[in-house]
Amino acid sequence: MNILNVILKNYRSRLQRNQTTWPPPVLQRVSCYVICVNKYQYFVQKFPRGAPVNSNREENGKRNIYAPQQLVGVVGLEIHAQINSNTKLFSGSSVRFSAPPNSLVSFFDASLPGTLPVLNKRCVEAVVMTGLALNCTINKKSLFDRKHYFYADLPAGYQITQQRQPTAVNGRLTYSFLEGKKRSQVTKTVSIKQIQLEQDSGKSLHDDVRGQTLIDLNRAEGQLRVDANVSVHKPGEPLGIRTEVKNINSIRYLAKAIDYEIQRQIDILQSGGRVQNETRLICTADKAPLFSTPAFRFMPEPNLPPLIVYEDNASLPAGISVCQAVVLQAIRQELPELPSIKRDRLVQTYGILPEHSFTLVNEDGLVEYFESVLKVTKMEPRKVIGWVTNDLLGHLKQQDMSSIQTAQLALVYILLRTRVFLLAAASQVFQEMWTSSGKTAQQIFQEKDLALVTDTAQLHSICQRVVDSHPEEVDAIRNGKKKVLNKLMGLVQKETKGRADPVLVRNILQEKTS
Amino acid sequence: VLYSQHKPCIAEIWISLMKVQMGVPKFPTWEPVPEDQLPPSAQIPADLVDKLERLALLDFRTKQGLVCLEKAIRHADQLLVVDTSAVEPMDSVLEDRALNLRDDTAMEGDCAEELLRLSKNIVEEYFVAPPGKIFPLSGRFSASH
Repeated sequence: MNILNVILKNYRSRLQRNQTTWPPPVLQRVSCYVICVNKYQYFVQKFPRGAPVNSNREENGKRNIYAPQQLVGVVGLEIHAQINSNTKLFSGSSVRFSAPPNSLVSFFDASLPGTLPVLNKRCVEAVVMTGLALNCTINKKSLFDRKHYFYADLPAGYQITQQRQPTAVNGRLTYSFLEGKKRSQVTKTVSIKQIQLEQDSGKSLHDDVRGQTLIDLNRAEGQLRVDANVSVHKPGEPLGIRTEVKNINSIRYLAKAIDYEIQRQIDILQSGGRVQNETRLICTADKAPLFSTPAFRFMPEPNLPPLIVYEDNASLPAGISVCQAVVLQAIRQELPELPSIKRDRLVQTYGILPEHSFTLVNEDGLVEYFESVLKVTKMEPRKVIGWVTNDLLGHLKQQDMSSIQTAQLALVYILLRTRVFLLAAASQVFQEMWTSSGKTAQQIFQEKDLALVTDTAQLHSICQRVVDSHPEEVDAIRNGKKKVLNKLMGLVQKETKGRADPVLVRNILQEKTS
Repeated sequence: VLYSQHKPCIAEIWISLMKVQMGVPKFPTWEPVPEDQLPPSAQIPADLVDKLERLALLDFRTKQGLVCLEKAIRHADQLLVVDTSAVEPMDSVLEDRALNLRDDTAMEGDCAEELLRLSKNIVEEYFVAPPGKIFPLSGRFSASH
């Protein structure tokens, strides 16, 4: 009982810590395929160089194979993700979701004259780690630039970013997904042009009635935002003129907007027109152009010397302390297990199907859950996976997602309590927990009389009855047909409604039939 | 001067400035660049004037304004005579110094009242700006100035 309490306690505190990540919001589910550190103020640019994008793919559910002279779309994604840091990229003011307006603003954030940017070490480490995870080359020396534009949410008149030499470049992400009715695994690779640190702008609220704009310089929007650059060309020819589709904040719209834009450009070119280099907003049905792409007048940021990343502690120059340095070796060691490696490991270690490994990895926390169930129950993985992917996820999708924590605890409790994974009993309690709220797993457990029968005397008498009433089977076992024992075990389980401890029953039956 | 958390750097800046000054002549010297050494003066197309107006947020499409622009460009043309081959551009005098990295601990902020006091117009805890459609939206800067 002591061990049980310790495990439960650990589990509970883990759940509490993970409270915000379980259940996973849609965005997080997607981000695990884009990037592994979903954090503050940097962005990833995904750029499939020249890779044809299927523009009008859904005809008869078949993929079109392009004729050599057919126009194909080329898509580059600019992904803005917030780094999970305590403070801002260039100032020591906090990052907090839904704080009162302008409460998280330092003098630097308000662009007061004379203030200087001071780079957050945590943000640098996050961008380097992301670069490593995405197989990028980490630039040992990277530079900061100013990008100018005039807007009220940017009081300095420029944004600090990395244009000439970003921290990470030339990466690639190999990803797989299941396609078609047979759910066959398709593997693709996308090139990553660069990963850079970039300061966020403020937030503006437009008050059309009074003709004014309200500015909040807190800069912690906490979202993943995607801009898509789209052009069309004939394969082998130079890339076409691109347009930028902005304002995409859902993954469903991302695919829609890109498909729409590719088709629009193909239509223009086929009717003899020219594509204009412009930025388009997704919000209106006809996607009216917002403005032609402006000149940002990039210039070197004079207030920040180059950012140096060191290979290991031995390569630190004199006068640079370890706490002031970003060291590749240390970050490499902290890199968590990446999704593709994790999936391979799950398939290899537990013998589960590749599609199940996708299901486990795509839900935040599910792998850990699956593995802890295995550890506690010592159950055959292929039996547990069915339960986890069908029962658990099925309920998650139907019901209030927040109940998962109780359900998880309940399940762990049951598994621990029974010591043997009794699928029928666990499922029954689980079912009950969704429908009758308020009842604890233990209450249901007792009410339904689902407790495991471990009373040896009781099992002995049941087994004896079964052995006595099936002389033919007993003879068969005695003649060496050991498998017939399973039939007898089944009969005992039937008598006990599946609650007999299988290990005990097997031992007793073996004893009685030898 | 508000050097937030950057105090050690003031000394560093001074050292750098002193070093630079040692290499700088005591008295300014220059010689005018003769007109014939300059490339022919460029014509400024109308759409470029448009773009410059937009970026500068200025309205200078008058005869006097265009003359001023041409003079400014002609003045800058003198830089083309300077031989910069094999000279690496310098970003700043601090470019060979170590970049100061900060711990991810909150030290600032929580001074909304103080900051909002600097603004002429506020609504609740927000700064108030003219309607946001200044930047190239309508093609030209339309707010009064």
